[in-house]
Amino acid sequence: MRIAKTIVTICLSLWLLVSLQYGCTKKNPAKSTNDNQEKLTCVDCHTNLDKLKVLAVPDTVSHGDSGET
Amino acid sequence: MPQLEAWEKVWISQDFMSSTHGSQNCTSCHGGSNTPQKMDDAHKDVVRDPAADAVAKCDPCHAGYGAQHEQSLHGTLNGYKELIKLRTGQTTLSPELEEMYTQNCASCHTTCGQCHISRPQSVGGGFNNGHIFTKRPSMTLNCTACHGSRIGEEFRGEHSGLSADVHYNQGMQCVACHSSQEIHTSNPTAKHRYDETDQTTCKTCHEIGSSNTYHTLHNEKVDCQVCHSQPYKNCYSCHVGKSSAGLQQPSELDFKIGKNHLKSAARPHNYVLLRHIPIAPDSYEEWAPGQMTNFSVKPTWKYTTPHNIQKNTPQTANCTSSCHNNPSLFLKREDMQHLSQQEQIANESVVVDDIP
Repeated sequence: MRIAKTIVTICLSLWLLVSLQYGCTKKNPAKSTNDNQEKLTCVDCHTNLDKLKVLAVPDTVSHGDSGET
Repeated sequence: MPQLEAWEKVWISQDFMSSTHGSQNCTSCHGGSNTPQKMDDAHKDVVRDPAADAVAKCDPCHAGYGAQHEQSLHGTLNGYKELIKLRTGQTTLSPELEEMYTQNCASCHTTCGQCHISRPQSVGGGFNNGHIFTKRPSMTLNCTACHGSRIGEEFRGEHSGLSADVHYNQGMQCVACHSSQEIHTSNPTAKHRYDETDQTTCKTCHEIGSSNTYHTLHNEKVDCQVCHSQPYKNCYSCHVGKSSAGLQQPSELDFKIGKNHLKSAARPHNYVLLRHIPIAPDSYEEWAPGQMTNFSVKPTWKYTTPHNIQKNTPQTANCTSSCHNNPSLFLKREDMQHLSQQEQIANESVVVDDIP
């Protein structure tokens, strides 16, 4: 009897966990990076130092200090 | 030269916005969309360096400059390509050499924008001054960003114990001598910078009168730099390997007088200064094994005009002990004994056997 109670409790807990997870996912789907972005013109962004400091991404290619080495 | 932060590279100033170029729509040069967009969408298909297509983007307003640039040594890089062809004996580069050229040499290709708007891409790029177009490129941010380790360091006197060029000390920048006509090319068939026909020389500004006996005796026989330069950097190998091992032999300061292998009406001198250029018989081995079959076709000590001019140098101290009795200043056969047989053959035309 005690074993059956434990199994039922575990099953209920798992069901609740899965259900809640599913519900949350449906209600708050993860937003893509693009969706979070503000709509701006070229000038809005490129003349605004504060925005650029947040948004500008460094080049992936590394360069030396001098082209002629 | 330290690199700019990512945001510094792309910041546009209000001064640019009120300039002639700033009155154009961004999209007219860079493509993309001018309506409010999300960042990722706004950058789709954007042309980062429109001046790479100078004829289409620059010439409609700056008639002819784009086309001229594309024929210039900065545009064609013929100086590099021609020597690779000569030293390999290939009229069309093999795929391996073409890849070596593209991966290494071609990174020095420059566009109108990389002189007049931003730093060269080979040093990381980024606007010089908030996207403002400058008629005259900056010596530090543009010219010596690429031509730095030899010309820049010598001109600014950055080598221990050596002085800066007297012209640098007078506040002159590269463009004071290197005219627009020369840089945009005065000779579309040029395969070397000394092939340009419109070049400033010492005599453009300095009249050689009869009052100085040294000038009278040496004029037309000895290049000005032979007496007025200081030691300069010589390189003996090159960074074209696939590994990050770098130079096999470090550069060194030296000073060698040799015979003029580029004699012309504009450069008639018998004796000139020679600089060892960054090449060795095995320089291309990692990319194209066995393909440098014609290494000795051109000297590896090449005509040079160092940018560290001084009125008074050790050579001008007196005639006999400074030059005429000083074989150490001349490129002699024994100077090449530690180098390969191919190097010795390559420099036959410039070596000095009889010290004058």
